[in-house]
Amino acid sequence: MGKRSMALGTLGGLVLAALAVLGGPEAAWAQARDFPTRPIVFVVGFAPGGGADVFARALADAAKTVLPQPIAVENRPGAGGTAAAAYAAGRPADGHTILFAHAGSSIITPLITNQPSLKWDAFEPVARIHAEEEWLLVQPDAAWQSIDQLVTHAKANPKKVRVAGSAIGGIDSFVVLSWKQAAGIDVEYIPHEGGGPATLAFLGKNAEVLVGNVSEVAQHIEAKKMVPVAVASEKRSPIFPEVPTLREKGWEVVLVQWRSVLAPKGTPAPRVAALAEAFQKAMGAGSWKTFNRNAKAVDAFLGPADFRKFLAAEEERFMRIIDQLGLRKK
Amino acid sequence: MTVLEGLGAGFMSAFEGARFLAMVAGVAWGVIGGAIPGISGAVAMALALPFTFALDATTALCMLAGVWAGANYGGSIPAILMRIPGTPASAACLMDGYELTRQGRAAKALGVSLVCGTIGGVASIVVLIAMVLPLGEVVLHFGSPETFALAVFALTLLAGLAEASFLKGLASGLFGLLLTTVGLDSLTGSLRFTFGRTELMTGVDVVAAMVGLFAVSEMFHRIAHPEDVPDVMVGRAYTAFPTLAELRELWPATLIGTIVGLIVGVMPGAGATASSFVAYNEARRWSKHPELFGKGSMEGVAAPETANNAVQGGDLVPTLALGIPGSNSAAIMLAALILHGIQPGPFLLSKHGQLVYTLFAGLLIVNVLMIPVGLVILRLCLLALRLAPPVLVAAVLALCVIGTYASELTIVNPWTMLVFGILGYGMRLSGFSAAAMVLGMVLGVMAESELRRSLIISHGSWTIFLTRPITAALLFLTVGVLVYPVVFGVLRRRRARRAVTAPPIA
Repeated sequence: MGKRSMALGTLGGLVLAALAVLGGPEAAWAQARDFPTRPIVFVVGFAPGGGADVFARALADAAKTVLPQPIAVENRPGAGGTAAAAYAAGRPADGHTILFAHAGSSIITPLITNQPSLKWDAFEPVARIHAEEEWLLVQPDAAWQSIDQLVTHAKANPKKVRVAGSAIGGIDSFVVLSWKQAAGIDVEYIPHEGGGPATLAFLGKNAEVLVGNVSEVAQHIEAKKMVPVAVASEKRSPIFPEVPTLREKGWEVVLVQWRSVLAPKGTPAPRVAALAEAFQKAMGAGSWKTFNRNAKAVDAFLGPADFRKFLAAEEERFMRIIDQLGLRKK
Repeated sequence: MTVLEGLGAGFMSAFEGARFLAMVAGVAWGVIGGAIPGISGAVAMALALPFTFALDATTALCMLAGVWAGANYGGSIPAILMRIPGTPASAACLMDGYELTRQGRAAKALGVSLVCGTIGGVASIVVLIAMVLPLGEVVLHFGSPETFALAVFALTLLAGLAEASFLKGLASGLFGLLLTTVGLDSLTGSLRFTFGRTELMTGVDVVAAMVGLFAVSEMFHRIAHPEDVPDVMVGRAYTAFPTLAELRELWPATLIGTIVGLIVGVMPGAGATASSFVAYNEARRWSKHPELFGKGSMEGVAAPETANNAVQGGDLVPTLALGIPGSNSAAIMLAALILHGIQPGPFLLSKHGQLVYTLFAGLLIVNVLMIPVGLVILRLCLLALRLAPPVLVAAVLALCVIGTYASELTIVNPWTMLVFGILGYGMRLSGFSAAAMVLGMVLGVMAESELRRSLIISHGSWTIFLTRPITAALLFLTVGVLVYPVVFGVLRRRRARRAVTAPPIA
């Protein structure tokens, strides 16, 4: 039956393609460039319905108004997103294949499993698109309601403060481990299979602190089931501007859950630039803005050159944490 | 808006426009997807997800609800007819279901599975509608220690699954448990037993392994023993619904299935597969004819089939009350909401009440729709059984490859399936239990990670398993269940001996 769905999907894609070719703002684009000449395949290393997939589909949808060709999302889940990287790396580097990337799939997993051929620098960085903030939250009835009080309490009671978050190797765990070290406290990290189970455990009072990305916790903050005490971003969050960053407290912990696009190594620079430009334009679309608002994500666009620099810095930072944890395969 | 008013409006809205048709289509695809080995409920929903983009949010949810309900039922069709569970959740029903087919009672078994599944589905949705908010609070009482205790309780089932020899059953279960240690350990981030293969990073896929153990090994068996294929056409009737008298006899099993399904569904981390095995075992424990289980008991079909449909209501509790998915299937419902621009979370019910009530109505409708749609598809499946055996075996094997590939779109899974198919055939020849192994694989992840997490929560103290009431009760039950038959057996033997030595009384 998978076959039938694929056939119908292709049909849908053709209809979309036909619609896209018929006029619109993209006519100007088509005249100016010889690219793209056929639908672009957006390889996503995670299953349909997950955060990465939803992101890719929203971006592909927004890009419809900009590009003369549709973007078709192709899910290739497995091996923490690296199966898709291996697949994308083997496709022609002509700009018609792009790859979803986040810290986990393109830095952390390749580092841990020692597979440099699947790491970000084996690809061409196209653009960083958006990011979700990472929050530290406490129980609404706790005696500590600010990050300073929490740290004082944690210092006085080593190993007593439990922090719930997603699996070790994910951004959540890296936020806590870097914060622990920077603030000189000893807290217990409780890893869960994902953000959902971690949130449940926290709501069930099995932990004093929750670390989670904003999309998973914002609704619960509104419902007064948790109180944000700090954000691990560079600047204060536009969503809760009264909450301090970890950085302004003197702890250099800046980690966000960014989502981005890579292209296979050797994709011509003008095409990479064209794709980046298209995504930047697409981020102005109404559908993208609605998606971002609902996902509580903030736009974090970086073009090819800046994104490459960012990735190099990010890799160095992750490498330090991974080595401290002893996760790297020798 | 009272619940009844909301539900009334929900029913009106559920029949608006093309919604009803979308539900019929959803159920039909769900039953077909569920019947294909390798395509579980969540996968069938994920495959249907792109089709819902063009629909409005409410219609999309109703359609996905249909796929979900349909797949719960669809899995039992090949389980009963061919000893091939279409979904892991239907692995428990094949033990008696296929035995009934051998006895020429396939029609009745299919009827019981359909009717009891519908009863379980409808009952769980009714409980969901009546108690979604209070139950949302209950979910929070199920933490890691509780889920661990449930896994331990469910592990006692291994004893019951030992078909030929207790020791071999136990060994099969333990091997299944061991297999779950392969892959990325989410509690430490380290790789275990992957031997440098990235394919093993995410561990052994339970669905692919199950398809291999059951479906592929059954096909090998049919190739080796073409004479050992029951004539499904016995009696000619396609489906025989249980009579009222039979339903009265089955109602304890159905009730057990519903309760087990709801409780296990509400617990995070435990799913339809665990629920159907637990329900099977509980039904046997409370049955008037426990000796019939494994030899063609209708109760052995009714209980697991009720349970895996009743899980739906339980899964939706945290999903709707807290915005946290209770299972993979529920996660796809949430993804559909997000894709339609609706933020799931604790305010879903208050902000999008109309949508939620329409979903409730839709859930009730699709569970009932399962009967007519299920019947039609069942006929098609029975037609397929008329194929010449070599064609049928080839077709089933092809479907297995497609199904396991479609579940994650990686070629690793069909290979896993083949390896486990060979292993499963070997196990079958030497009397090891595939069901016990699948159960071990399902419970292994649950037991291990929840145990370790519990100990972090308790700062390393084992007393956490005694101080939390639900955990302690479940573990106490486990001990009771293990000790009772031993003590009972000793008493009975002693009584028997006395009866032999004592002079017969009139």
